[in-house]
Amino acid sequence: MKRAYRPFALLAAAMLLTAFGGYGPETLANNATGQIPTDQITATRDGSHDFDFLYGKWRMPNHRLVKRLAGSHEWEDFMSYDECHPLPGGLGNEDFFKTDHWKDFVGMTTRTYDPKTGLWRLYWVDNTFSGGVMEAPVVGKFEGNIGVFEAPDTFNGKPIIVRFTWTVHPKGSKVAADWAQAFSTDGGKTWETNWTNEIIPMDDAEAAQHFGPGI
Amino acid sequence: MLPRPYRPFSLLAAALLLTAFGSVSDADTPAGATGAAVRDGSHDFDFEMGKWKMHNRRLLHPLTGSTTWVEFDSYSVGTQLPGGIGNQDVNRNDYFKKGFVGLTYRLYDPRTGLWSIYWVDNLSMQGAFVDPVVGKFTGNTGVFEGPFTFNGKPALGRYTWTVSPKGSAITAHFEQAFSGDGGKTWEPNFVNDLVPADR
Repeated sequence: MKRAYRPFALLAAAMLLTAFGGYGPETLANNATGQIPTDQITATRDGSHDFDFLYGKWRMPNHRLVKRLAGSHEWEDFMSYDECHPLPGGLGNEDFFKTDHWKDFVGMTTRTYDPKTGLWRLYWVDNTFSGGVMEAPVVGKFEGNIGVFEAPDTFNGKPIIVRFTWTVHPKGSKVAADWAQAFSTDGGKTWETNWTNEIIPMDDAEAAQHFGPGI
Repeated sequence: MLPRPYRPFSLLAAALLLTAFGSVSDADTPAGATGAAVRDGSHDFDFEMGKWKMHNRRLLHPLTGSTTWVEFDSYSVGTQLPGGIGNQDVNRNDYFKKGFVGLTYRLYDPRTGLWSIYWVDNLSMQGAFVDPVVGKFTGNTGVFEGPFTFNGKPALGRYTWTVSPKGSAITAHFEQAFSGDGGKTWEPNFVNDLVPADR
């Protein structure tokens, strides 16, 4: 969701495509006929509503490790504001993340759902670090109230795995959910959490202040 | 903006593309500080903001020598994204399937002046964006290209936008073409005209 670094290595990209099946030549045939081969359909839980909890407008206290994978324990705190809504046609959802921690910062997450595999892909782009290019997605799903989404990537030239963890709290909780980003340099054995935030509902007045009456 | 029913581009081609257009910035260095002077193209898709009806012509079997075209209507809505990220377009039709929705993101890099145009739809994409076509406008014509694999072979995809003078009945014209020979020859396979609509 908020990864300010390079797109993941091409080798890693190949691994990801292999690991998750993804699109392939069959997609072409499918598109021409509008048919999905029945042998590709396996029973998966319908996770298409697993991000519905995020629809709305939120205040997010952020807690961010300033230097990653450096043994540092220096954290910075800042506020962000977020608005999430569904995309049409069952594609998924998108949200806009605004903060003044970086000047006039806006980030966008697009979450697309694959009903065939039950997997979500979470894409990130922002107006400060991304250079007009979507980052490669982290991929995963929810089990119970916890969603884990991972992707291979590189950080300062070294291969890492990036993981987002969403934890959804019971309805009516003061904090609706929390989010964490962690990196692993040892193939997932150990993780360094470097960014967390909490999703707190805003009232209409506060929301209008950050997103205007329109959104 | 339109369904490109093919694979994302090959990894080798991806590497070439990243090299050609420069990678996104590293770590915590904001982009934009290092750029040479580039024309501000951030408003080049403003013409597409709003509601549109399109009459589409589609070549059924690209790069096969076939000349069988089909025609159908679709509707599109273009909206800006916040913070200068770019814009998005939602395309609806009942041709590919009832309730078909295709989503385009056009993301702008002020450092290079290039747009990256991404497509995903609710029919064939399995929740993954097609790798982008990349390019820019020169005058009233925008050309956006990217490598991919089509029917197992390396190919190039190209979008060409031609914007009409203000007040024209047709606001803009779109064409998608593929090349199977590295860009020497191109076969258009999807064309439409944007006409203002009220839905």
